[in-house]
Amino acid sequence: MSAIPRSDSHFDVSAWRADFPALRRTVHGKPLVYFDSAATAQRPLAVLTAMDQFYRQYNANVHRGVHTLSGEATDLFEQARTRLTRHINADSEREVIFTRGSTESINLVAQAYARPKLQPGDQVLISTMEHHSNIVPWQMVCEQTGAELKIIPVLENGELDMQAVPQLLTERTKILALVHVSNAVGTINPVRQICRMARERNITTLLDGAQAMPHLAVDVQAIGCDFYSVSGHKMYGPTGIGLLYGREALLDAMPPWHGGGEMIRTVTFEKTTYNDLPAKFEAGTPNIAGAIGLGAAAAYLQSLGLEAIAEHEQHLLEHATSQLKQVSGLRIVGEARHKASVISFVIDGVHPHDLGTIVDHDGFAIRTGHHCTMPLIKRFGLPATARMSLGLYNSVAEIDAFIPVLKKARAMLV
Amino acid sequence: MTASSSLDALYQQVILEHNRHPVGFDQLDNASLIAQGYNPVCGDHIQLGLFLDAGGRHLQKLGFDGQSCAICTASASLLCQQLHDLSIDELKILVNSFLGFIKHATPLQEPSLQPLQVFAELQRLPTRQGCAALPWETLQTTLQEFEVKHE
Repeated sequence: MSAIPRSDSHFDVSAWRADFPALRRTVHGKPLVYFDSAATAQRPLAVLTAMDQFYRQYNANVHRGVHTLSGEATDLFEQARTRLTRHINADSEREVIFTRGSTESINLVAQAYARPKLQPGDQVLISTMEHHSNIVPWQMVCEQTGAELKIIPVLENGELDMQAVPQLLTERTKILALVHVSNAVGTINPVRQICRMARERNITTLLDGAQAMPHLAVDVQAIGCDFYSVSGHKMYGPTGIGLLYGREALLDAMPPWHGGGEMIRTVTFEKTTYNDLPAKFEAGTPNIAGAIGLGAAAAYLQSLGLEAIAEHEQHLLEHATSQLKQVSGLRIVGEARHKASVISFVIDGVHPHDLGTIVDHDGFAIRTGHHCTMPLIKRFGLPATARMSLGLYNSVAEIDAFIPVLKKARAMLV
Repeated sequence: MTASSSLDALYQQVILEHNRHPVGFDQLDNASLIAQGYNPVCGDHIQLGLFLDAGGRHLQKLGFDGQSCAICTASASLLCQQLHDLSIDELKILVNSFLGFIKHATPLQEPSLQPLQVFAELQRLPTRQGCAALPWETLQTTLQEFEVKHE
């Protein structure tokens, strides 16, 4: 990490910012500074337009009718799937299932893959840094099957305790479910290395990619995971839409999860036969506009270039980290060597909740609380943190404007 | 109202002072009852101690402990400062009155609750109402459970 932040002049973010209409609004009479993209990102015009156009011109159900609109809607829906297949470098569209989001993707794997497989005494391995969405579905399936939940500890700097991993990958471990990028403290986990270790031991891997997708170019084949979950709204797409990537051989062998239309081939009262992948896991009319919006979000990120986004965000991360440390009494929670632009911190004598309200009055939107990662925040001995999460549209100037507001909050409360 | 005056209205000096030096804080020893209050939205956790007379129908005083934001801490502090030497029935009326004031903007009539007017700004801030309400809701729940046991 460079001690002296580079100037903002190497990159002008204003063109990117212009793509996001919500950033033009004010809050309490001040320009909005949106530092809460890890909770949900703002959406670019490209996404809003794609969805609006769908509803205005092409709206019809997919995979159903013979009429023109139904054909066009189906094409748009499947084009989105193709784009997303390429975006994460899945082998084929059969491996890309539309879901409501990362949470549903994980539940799908827990119920349709793990539940039939797990025996009493088997183990599911997760880590202390998981979002509740990658804890609770596994607790539920462990309760249903008699399997046991095991936990990879997290070190004081917010990294996984990699020394503990080999002993935790035992003969009884059937599934390793791990977050790719921590939504709470920004840690980027060494997922290739861990997936390799799991593969050598014949352990199935699921990565929670909700927070990785907006920051990194994700290549599921290069990572070598079996399942990968994605949330649309974290990667500048719509809410209520996400993906499950799964290796075809695994998805093929799994029973369906939800029953209904779309996921069947034939239905009689005696016997129903199921559709092929990916439709087998997409019961009911899907979130068509959401899928199209998510495809547009992937296209938007590709047009900017994920490497350019990552470079800009790393610059913001370095700058914000060094500036935050100038605030007396401020401590950054989680200083992993590899981090995405998500920074948790606490200030002595200032409760995060009060901080969130005070900075909001100056237009700054930050998240405060446990960030749906209660075990991780507890591991750091805290009830809550403040979290500043930086997206592609944030600027050095916004970070610089934030620092005096933090100092004001401290002066007010301490 | 401008942003800074709205903020000043929320974080009044009285609230900031109670946050820095809370009344009844860390005074749970020998309490007759200890109630746990938890706000799942923010993770705040407080404990409220009730000191009752031998018959259990009269509150002598309250104490509290825990980790909470300035609004919650000041609310607990003012609760401890203002509510003492009361019958359980009187206590219940005051607790309901304050919760109505925060959540439904019901005017505060009772003289002993007048210092709680400092939380009026919360009526415009639903995201923080739970912070001021936590100590009082904790007390309310405990009183309800207490009532069931003694019926």
